[in-house]
Amino acid sequence: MTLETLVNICLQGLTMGMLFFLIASGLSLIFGLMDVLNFAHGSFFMIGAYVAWATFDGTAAIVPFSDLRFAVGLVAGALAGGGVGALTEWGLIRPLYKRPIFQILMTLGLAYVFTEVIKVLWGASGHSMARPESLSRAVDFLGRPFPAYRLFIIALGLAILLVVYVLLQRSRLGMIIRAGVENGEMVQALGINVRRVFTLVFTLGAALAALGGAAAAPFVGVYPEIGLEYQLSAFVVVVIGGMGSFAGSAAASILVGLARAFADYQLSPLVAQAIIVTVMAVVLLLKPEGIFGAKKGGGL
Amino acid sequence: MSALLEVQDIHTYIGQFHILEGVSLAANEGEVTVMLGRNGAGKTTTLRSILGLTPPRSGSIRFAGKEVGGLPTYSVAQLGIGYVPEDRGIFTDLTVEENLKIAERAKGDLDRKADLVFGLFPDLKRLYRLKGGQLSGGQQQMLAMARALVPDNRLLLIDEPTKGLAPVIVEKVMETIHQLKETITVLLVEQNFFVASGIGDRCYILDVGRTVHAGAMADLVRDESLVQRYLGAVA
Repeated sequence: MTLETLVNICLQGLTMGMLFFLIASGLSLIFGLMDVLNFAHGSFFMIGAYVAWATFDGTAAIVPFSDLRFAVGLVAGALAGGGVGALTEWGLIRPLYKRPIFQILMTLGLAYVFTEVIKVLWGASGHSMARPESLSRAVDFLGRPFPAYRLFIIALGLAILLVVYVLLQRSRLGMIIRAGVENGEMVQALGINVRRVFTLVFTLGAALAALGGAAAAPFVGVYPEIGLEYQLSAFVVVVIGGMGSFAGSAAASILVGLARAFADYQLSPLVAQAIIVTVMAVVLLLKPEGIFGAKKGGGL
Repeated sequence: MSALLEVQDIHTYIGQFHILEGVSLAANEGEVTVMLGRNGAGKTTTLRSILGLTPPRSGSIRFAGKEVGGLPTYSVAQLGIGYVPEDRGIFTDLTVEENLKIAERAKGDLDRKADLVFGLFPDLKRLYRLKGGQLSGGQQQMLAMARALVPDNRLLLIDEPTKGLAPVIVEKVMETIHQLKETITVLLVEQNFFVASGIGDRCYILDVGRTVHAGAMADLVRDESLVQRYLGAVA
């Protein structure tokens, strides 16, 4: 393997890692804070992808600037995901906090409902989405061309990582979230309305996943199964990183992304996926609190 | 002397288990009220019922003249009740400073209370940047009490503050609770009768989920047979 190939695979792995991160970080925080195992989280990724694509393509006749349409698509995707997320938490998850098993069944069922609704709206087959003009070039990276769009995904992922990290570490809301992951009861006993924080975190998590989907759309296209597919990788990431640990899911995302990229190159995507799920099974059996930290007392 | 907190005949279930079968007590403003009783008598559940963490099915809980039974926990706390749970409830991943700051109900609470908090717990200043998980048991106990003093609370519920602490630290904790009396009303759960008798004004004895005795601490200290019956050997 030449150095150029190595760099290329690493960049490819980082690209995938950042998409995993955008969906896994919300999944992990939602579980850590609310004990909700959200099997519908991939749906927000899918909704983000579809809304971004529909916005981008639908406005092509009116707005000639593809960069602008793309930016609006990203925002629209994230907002749509966040909006559906907020409604989901408020209307369907909240009434079931006292019955966690039903909650899991609810989110699992929702994932299928969302997928079917998308099929009704935009058809069962996939669509490809063009890249915006300024990101469709290739950038020279150590003498080899690398698609600028992937660098954009990496930059976007890193930016979100930084913003969420600062939010968690420096803001009062972040402090409450970190405390709530460890001991939600005590947070309430301090006079803080945890339910309101739940809704906020669920909404933010859904919006992040949707932003990931919107960013992924020009990269992998949009198709109804995209949510469930990325969700599987996200669950692997969350288990490896430790449920409820933000830093853990960031590190594990990059790890899983790189592992995928190398296995994709050496073996095949299907084998790569199987290997990663196997790694998750091993972690679950040997170190169920994850490699980077535990839910209780492990924190960030 | 008016009762700041009045609990009347509460019945609390955990799952299908009837844990409290009629607990009544009152905490007077400016006093330390002690709840005594054997393991499993329902002392912790009583505190949790007052806070709505395990809401009672029947009975009444009045705080500062207002019925609080049925309110969500955060609303009860906002009325001015601080909680120091048995496990101290310290956020191990947050710094000492953050553990105090998170208790603020209005911006600047901690600054306003700095004299009180650091006057009672001067050690916390030195530990300010450490994470909660790096503190010793005694230090965590101090932090938990300090945290309950940050907002404008009128009542502190303190659950077995001396559990698992070395005798020297126990003395310090009790001394602190004694000092707290000047600023705040305390409802204290304590297993150790000897320790509790030193600082309590009034006391209640709970046994299998019921209040079985209420009276002045000074009288209980003299009533050996009662102490024997409900609290076991006390030498």
